[in-house]
Amino acid sequence: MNFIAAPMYKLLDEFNTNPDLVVDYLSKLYDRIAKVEEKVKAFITLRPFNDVLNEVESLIRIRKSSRNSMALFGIAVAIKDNISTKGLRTTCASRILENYIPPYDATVIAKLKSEGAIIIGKTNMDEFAMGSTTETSAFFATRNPWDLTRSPGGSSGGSAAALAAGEATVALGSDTGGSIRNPAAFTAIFGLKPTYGLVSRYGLIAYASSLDQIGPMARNTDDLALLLNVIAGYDPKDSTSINIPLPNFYKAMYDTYYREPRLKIAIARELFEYSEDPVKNMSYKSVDVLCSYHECREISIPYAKHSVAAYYIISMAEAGSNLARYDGVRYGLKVNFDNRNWVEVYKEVRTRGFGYEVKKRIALGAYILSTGYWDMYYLKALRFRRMLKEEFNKIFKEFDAIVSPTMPILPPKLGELIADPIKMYYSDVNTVIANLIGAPAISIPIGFVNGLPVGLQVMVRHFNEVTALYISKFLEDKLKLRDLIALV
Amino acid sequence: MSKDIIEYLERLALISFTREEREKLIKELNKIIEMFNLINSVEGLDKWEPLYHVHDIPLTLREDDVVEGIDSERSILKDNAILVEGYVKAPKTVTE
Repeated sequence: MNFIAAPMYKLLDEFNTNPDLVVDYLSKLYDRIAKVEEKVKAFITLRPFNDVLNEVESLIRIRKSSRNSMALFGIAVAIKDNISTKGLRTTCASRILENYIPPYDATVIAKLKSEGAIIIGKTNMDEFAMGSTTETSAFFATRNPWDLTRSPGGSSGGSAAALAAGEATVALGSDTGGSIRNPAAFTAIFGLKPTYGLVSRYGLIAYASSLDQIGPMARNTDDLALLLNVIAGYDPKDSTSINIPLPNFYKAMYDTYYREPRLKIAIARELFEYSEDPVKNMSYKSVDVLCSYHECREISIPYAKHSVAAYYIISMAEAGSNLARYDGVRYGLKVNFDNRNWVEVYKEVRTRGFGYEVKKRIALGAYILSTGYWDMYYLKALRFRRMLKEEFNKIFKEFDAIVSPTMPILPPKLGELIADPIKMYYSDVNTVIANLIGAPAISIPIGFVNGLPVGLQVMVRHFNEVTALYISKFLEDKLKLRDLIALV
Repeated sequence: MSKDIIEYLERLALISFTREEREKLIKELNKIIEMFNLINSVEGLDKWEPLYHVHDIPLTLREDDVVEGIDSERSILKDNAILVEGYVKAPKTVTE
């Protein structure tokens, strides 16, 4: 069995029959990492193989002595470095948290561990998830495994690159304005931003709390659904998490898949129009595949570009507040306290600890929330947010899904997008809507242009992840783009 | 956009920019503010109530009960803070 490319659901079958195989699998995986990581640079912190081996040996003993199967037994998972892992350094790709060791696990991490998953390391990202290319990381840029001169996207670029390079079987990312879907599209993997409140944010280091959501990343739809099953669910520790009964996403996806209902799908005209030609053409091809069975109609998406403005206003305002906690006292960068007052120390910690993009967003956040600008920008953006949600509720009354390219561009050359931040901000035009309205959205690989991946985004009604997974499975079947690993 | 606004931002946010960062920021700010202003071109926004939470539901409260205690040495902070006899060392907050 090819352990590197094997889908998780097959590995789980193998490990269920023979738990000892997990050791072979992990050693093959670490060989792969040793071979490609120097080129890809997906991980900020990779756990030493021996540590992992010790954990696995006791896990295998537990597995053999109990009759309970574990939903992710033995599976190597890569975790974005803004999700807290007890005892394992969590940096948010920032100097300010360079030496931060969380004293607790995020709820999603506790859930993964209790289902037997192996956390192999923490992946690179844009600093505090502020960026779309993984280049604002304070440590290094991650490279796209499909073309090492290009970015894997961001901000969950390390998690996406680790999957595309075969360095992990599944991964977690976080998505505030597209940070799971963007790198998924750029690396030919599957990524889902769940409904706001479906997955606990407890232990996710906040960027913009009303938009942030943790989600699964995988190389096929089945694995995505299986991982979602484990991480979804109400958590009293996250006051924004929603307490409703949830389906088994994997089973519900297959039930739908076998029934094969014809869906009503909206083609988001403007989001195609704003895209580069190669992306547009490739996306229309996959739309043809969808529409050969499902019922499709083109619609106009109201206020697409205004959504980018609303997104940046709200996210910067929230970032300004959320990042005020980095005072270098309870945790974070340490500077000299002696004979200096709080303001002096606080200012030095922030100035030395944060990179340019983060400082810019904090400063603009303070500006947006300051007297005279609060009602001009922030309040307006919140009013806009309600209007947008109502507009989309209307669309979702008529349609089951809205499709568009995930990203309007192909994976950019390293250095290209970050040199033009306004262009970078507008490249989020297709993804920010789902965060503003709180709806789930998935990115599905649909093809390559000159060897560069293109992804299709499917947005669905709140708590309708099953529909997104069904469409993903449908396209995966027709296009046969699954379990892809770049040669590197 | 001028140096003044950058100094204003620095004061507001208690953060400093290096000279290179200032030059970059001056170039970007006009375009960013221009983008923000797009929101003011949307008509009829005042009739919509601001949306703070996408599900429009009140946040839940928990009972104020201890779930996990913290020891008197506050050892939970040991990896990240400077601890002196169980207290966290901090800079002066009151000065003359």
